[in-house]
Amino acid sequence: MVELKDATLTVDGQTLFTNLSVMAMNGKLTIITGLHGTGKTTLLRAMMGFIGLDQGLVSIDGELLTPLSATTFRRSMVYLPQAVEPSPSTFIPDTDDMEVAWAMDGVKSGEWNVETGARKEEDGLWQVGSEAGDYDGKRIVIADDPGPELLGRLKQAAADGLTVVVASRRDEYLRAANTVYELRVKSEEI
Amino acid sequence: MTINYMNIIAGLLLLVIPAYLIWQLDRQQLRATAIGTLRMMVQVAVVGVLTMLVWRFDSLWLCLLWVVLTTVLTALVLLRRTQLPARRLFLPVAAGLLVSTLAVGSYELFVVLSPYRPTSAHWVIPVSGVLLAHSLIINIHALHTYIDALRGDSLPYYTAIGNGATRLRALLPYAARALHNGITPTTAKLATTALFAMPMLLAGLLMGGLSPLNAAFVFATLIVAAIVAAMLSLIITLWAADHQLFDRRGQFMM
Repeated sequence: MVELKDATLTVDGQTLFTNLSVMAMNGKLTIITGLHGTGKTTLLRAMMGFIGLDQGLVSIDGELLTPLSATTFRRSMVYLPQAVEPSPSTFIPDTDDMEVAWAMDGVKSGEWNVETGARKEEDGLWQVGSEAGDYDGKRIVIADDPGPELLGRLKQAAADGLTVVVASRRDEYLRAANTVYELRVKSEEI
Repeated sequence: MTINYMNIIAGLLLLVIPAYLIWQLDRQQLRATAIGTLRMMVQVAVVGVLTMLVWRFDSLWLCLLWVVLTTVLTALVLLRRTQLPARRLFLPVAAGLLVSTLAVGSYELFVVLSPYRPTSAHWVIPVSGVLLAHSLIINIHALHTYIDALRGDSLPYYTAIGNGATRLRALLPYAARALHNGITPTTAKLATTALFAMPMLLAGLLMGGLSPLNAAFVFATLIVAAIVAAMLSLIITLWAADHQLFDRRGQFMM
């Protein structure tokens, strides 16, 4: 479970949200939505401990997320960042011993093979688990604007008991969500 | 036997030829060329006088002070060339240069070049100079690559630490790329180093009185030491700069 409580965050002088509370439960698909620039990605990064809140707190399974504890908590997380077109100069981090294998060249997260779940680093595919249902100790999935192809896999992860938090504006994600939080400019959850 | 003023004037007289050519072909460049030449001469004169003082006292402590001062100068030049924030990165860069120069330089002087006088200014100054100069060239490329890669393409970094990797592991690809870009120009020129890339070093060793065979040996070991020192200084700099480049949450700050 990931909980954001009474959170206020200002970035570059712009208040993205004030007194925002989000509770992403185990076994549920939680969607953060909102227009471009409302802070969806920033909110996910705050949930992962990359960004400190001005006020409020983040907790993982009831434990406070701090700069020190964030490193430990992130070991139990799968992070699928916003799908971007990698530049030709992008290189590949060696993530052999990590759950998510990333091979970049020309690959978008939408090309993740949701059917087989087999590791195909040479094909540059996103993978969660070496086979379907195997999450290798990961308990939380945080996905930033994943493609529609990932929806089935993320729903399955939630059904398997993982906490799944997705930032998305796609209708199919909003329809599939168990809980939806909408960010607005200087506004709070709905 | 020493070079006298007449010799120096005779040497500088050669400047008449380029000056004439520039006057005829590209008159606008004359002023810039004259200023550049004057600056070079002042710089060489200052370095010459300072080196002469260190030479005269021939004290190991004075040599170490020389190494520290030239390290500070090299660090400032490096930060200026890379246009990185000097206030934030001066200490890591200077620490990397100093530690690597002292470590590799000591090995070179006391182990490899032990038949010569390893603690004399005669050897400490040129050896540390070669190591620092090479570290400067390699680190300009490497640091630039490292910071630029993190600025322009931080996604692999955040993906790695977002999935539980340590910061060291997440930064390895960036460090590898920095090292690659730093040493590639040097390794590419290794085969022609003696003749084209660093002929002055070999010429200096020969003019310093070494036999051709000894000069070649010393030259080769100095080149190897310079590459090692440059790589070591880069690794130490990146390690020491960690807290300057990332906040305590692991967010890249530049």
